[in-house]
Amino acid sequence: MKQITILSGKGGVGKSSITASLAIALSKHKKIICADCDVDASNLALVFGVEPKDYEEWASITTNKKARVDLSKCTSCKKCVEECYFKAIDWDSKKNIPVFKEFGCEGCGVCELVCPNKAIELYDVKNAKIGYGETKYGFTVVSGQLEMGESGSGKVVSAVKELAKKKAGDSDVMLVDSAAGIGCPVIASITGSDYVIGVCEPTPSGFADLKRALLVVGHFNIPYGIIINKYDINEEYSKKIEEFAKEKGAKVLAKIPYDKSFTDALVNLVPLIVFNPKFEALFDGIVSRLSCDGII
Amino acid sequence: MKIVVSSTGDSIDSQIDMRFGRCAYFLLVDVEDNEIKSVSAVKNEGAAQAHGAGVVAAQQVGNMKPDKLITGNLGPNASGIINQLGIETYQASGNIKDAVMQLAEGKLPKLENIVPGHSGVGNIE
Repeated sequence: MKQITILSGKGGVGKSSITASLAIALSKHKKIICADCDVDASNLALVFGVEPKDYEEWASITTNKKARVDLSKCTSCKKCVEECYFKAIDWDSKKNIPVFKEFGCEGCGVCELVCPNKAIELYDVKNAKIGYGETKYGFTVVSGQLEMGESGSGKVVSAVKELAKKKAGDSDVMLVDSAAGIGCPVIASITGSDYVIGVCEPTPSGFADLKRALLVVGHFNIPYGIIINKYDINEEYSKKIEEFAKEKGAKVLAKIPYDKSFTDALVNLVPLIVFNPKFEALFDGIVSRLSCDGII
Repeated sequence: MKIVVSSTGDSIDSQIDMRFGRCAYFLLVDVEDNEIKSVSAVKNEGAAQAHGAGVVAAQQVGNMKPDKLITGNLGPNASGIINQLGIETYQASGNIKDAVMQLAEGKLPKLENIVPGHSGVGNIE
């Protein structure tokens, strides 16, 4: 099974909208499965019209630890309060006990280390749930959702991808909607990819963030292509992106004009290509370019 | 020669895990005169990390003191550590026993020498 990952670096440039439409165009020729690895803002399933209540199952996963105290062993020495770098432990001077603040705790374990009475221990917290649902378009989408106050992590992303592999059956292609940024969750998203598609808009921040994200891709020696979204809002800048692509030997897979249908499709919980069929030719073009280059 | 392999399972007949930082197991294989003398498996502690899997995995491999490493690819953090430790890294996929024998016969490509086969690869700036 081939793995194609779609990333952007910067958020809000149309990555998930493009992923959803590409998925539908691809599914005409290949058996596919989608993995939404943008767990901080997971909404690929929503773009397909799959709401959390439609999911087949949810499973909790643990990636973090938090500290708790056994007050019967506490001698009120305050060492934990003094040493907590994240100020996640308050001192209750009336009761003379430490108060652990769940959302402040990073699970670093310093309090456990400094407590002379071994009154503090770290426990596993469930900080994400992953699940899958069937889209109306004949393929499955796997998603992860973080619990309140938790951050996206490579482990959650890896869990989403592993579930997608399990559910893939005899799929030809796994389409991965990558996390934003260039850190741990992005590395986990692109690991094992055969090809990466970078989505970019012609703005200085969009281009800068894409270049940074492609640095990570370059490290893994993974070939990539670029899609310029809203290319006509700044044609001069779009040319810069095209020149950059040429310099790197990367193909510009598509230049998508600005179109209000992008927003209208999102509002109506329908992928762009279904909402406005005039985009079908454009996405079919991307599929045939990928096919010509032997990527799918 | 001691070789560490990122593995999906705990035996020499397992498949290579193409991920380094989040592979399931590390296999330590001792090869002499093109013969496998011993095999042992340890769980990769990196796989359980929320963040920084590559760093933890690289530390663990460093402590196993291998001469060579076989994996699919190294992430940016892991490769920094593995390179500093001077562990030669080779790229392979598929069956571990086959890859180890190929390495012993000098037939595996070094990871740093792998030339991308497609367009759009390269260092940016």
